[in-house]
Amino acid sequence: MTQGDQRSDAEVVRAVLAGDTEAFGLIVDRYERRIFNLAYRMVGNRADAEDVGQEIFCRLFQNLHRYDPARPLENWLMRMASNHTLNWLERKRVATVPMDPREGEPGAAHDPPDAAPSPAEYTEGREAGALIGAALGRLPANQRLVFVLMYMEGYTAEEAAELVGAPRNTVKTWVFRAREALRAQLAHLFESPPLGPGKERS
Amino acid sequence: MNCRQARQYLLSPADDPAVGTTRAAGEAEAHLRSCAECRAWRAAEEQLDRALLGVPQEDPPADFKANVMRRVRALAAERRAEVARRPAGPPWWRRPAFVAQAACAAAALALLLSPAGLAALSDAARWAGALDPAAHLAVTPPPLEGGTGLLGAVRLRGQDVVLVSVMCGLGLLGNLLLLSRGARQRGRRGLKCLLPLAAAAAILASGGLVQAAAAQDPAGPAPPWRNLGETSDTFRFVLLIALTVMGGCGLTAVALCVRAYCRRLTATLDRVVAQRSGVYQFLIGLFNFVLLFGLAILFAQYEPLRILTLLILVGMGVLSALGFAAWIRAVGRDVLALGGGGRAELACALAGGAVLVLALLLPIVGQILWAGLLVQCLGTALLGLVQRLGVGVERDAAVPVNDQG
Repeated sequence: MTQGDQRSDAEVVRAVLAGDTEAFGLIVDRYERRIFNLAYRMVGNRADAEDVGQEIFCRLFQNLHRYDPARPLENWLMRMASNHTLNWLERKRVATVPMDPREGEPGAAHDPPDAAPSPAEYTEGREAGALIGAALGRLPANQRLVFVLMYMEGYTAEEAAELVGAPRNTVKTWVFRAREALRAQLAHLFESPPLGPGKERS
Repeated sequence: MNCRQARQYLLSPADDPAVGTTRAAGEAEAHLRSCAECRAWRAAEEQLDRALLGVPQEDPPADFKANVMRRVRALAAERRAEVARRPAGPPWWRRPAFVAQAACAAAALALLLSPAGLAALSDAARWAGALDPAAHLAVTPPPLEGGTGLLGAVRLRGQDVVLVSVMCGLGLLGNLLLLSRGARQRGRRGLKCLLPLAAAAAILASGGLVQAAAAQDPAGPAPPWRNLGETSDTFRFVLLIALTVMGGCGLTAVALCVRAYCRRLTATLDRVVAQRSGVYQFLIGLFNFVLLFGLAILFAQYEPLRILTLLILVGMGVLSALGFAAWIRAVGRDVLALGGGGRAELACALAGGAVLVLALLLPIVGQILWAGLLVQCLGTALLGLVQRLGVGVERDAAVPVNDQG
């Protein structure tokens, strides 16, 4: 993971705490992609994901003195990021008029992920990504979070449970439900043969 | 293996090596062979997996790092400025908040070990004894009257029901006010908060009915079901039906309200933790204590509900024990990390101390004001639990504090 600078996360953190603010850039380098992707999958659009991602790193910086160097920074950061995105979604839900009584319905459901212009060969993936992103947006936030952690960030159920601070069986149930819901929402995608080139979805 | 188990297993097969993977795998495969629906399900799952694999990773914006670093530098500068501004205070063990809270903790401990505190504890033990099934079957009820502890002397009669309902109502209203203010949201979710009121009304109504039935017996408020044998069959039938219906409604309402209430309370507590307002914490603890205590007294009146009283008492005991731990931890962290508490915190600590001293001086009042101990404990316990369990806004506060900070 290290790029150029071979210092471990704990060493970098120590340097930052000792006053070398610029060393924090190394941590950003190492984890920005992860954090940004998590935020993007959770909030559903790039602009908000950038905000959330920046806030997460600022939070990390502000709470760095609480970091226990004996544990991996990544887990701590991902846990913080998970909490922060959940809270962000909750705040957004509270801030937007709660006319919809459904619990955990994120506002993000209404903003389809914006598809950046991309090379033709990525179109198919982008399209499926956009559909999946929109379907994800309709899941309750906690289900979305564990789903993203497990199927997009590659954590096991055990690790995801640790990250979101929920019992493993609860996490498994959430994921099970999330998959059921996603399959139901993407049924039109699956009934037909797998996405081929030139297949149009609005 | 049924469909659900098989699907759960197939979703994360390697997750549970201890459960006997090979056997489970065999069973799952056997199920798949016999169940066309699950085969279709698995095909769809595999399609979903393939679709997920095809989802590309997003690249962060090119200026992401630059923006983060700009904000981080600003934060660092702010912190340096703050450190420069902060005057060097006295050492943490001489700061007023620590002294006051330490004194309160000492007073609380002394109170807990005082005759009043011990009486309250032994009273709880007596209640536990009264729950012995053998005692239930005996013709004579266990001698609960004349106890010296917290609930021993409390036997509600007609007008007392009104008092206790007022108490419960006050607790609920206080909670509602705090919650609506703290959660800063109204509308439908706010209405859900009225469910506790509905539940309390249902409880009180059923309590009133029971009371009315008991009033038929001039000897006093003996539990009515013991009198059932002496009343007419029609009355007994109507009463049973009414109690069943009300019990059902009440339980549903209680279940709903507990869910809404917990959710809302958690959200509010998160904000409280974020605000670190001592007064606010104190009020929440106080109102919840009044509510729980009122319910405990109410439940204590009727034998079938006594188990709830006991549960509440035990719960409060556990919470208060946790509260002490959380409190001490919080004091330590506040003082060490923040450089002493504010005026509100100091006032709270002093008020808590005053209540405790009063309770020590007046044994009779003390039995009720034993509450004073639990008030602060309960509040801090809930906060401690919220932090411990890591729910909500300040969840990352649950991450272990690092020594080098």
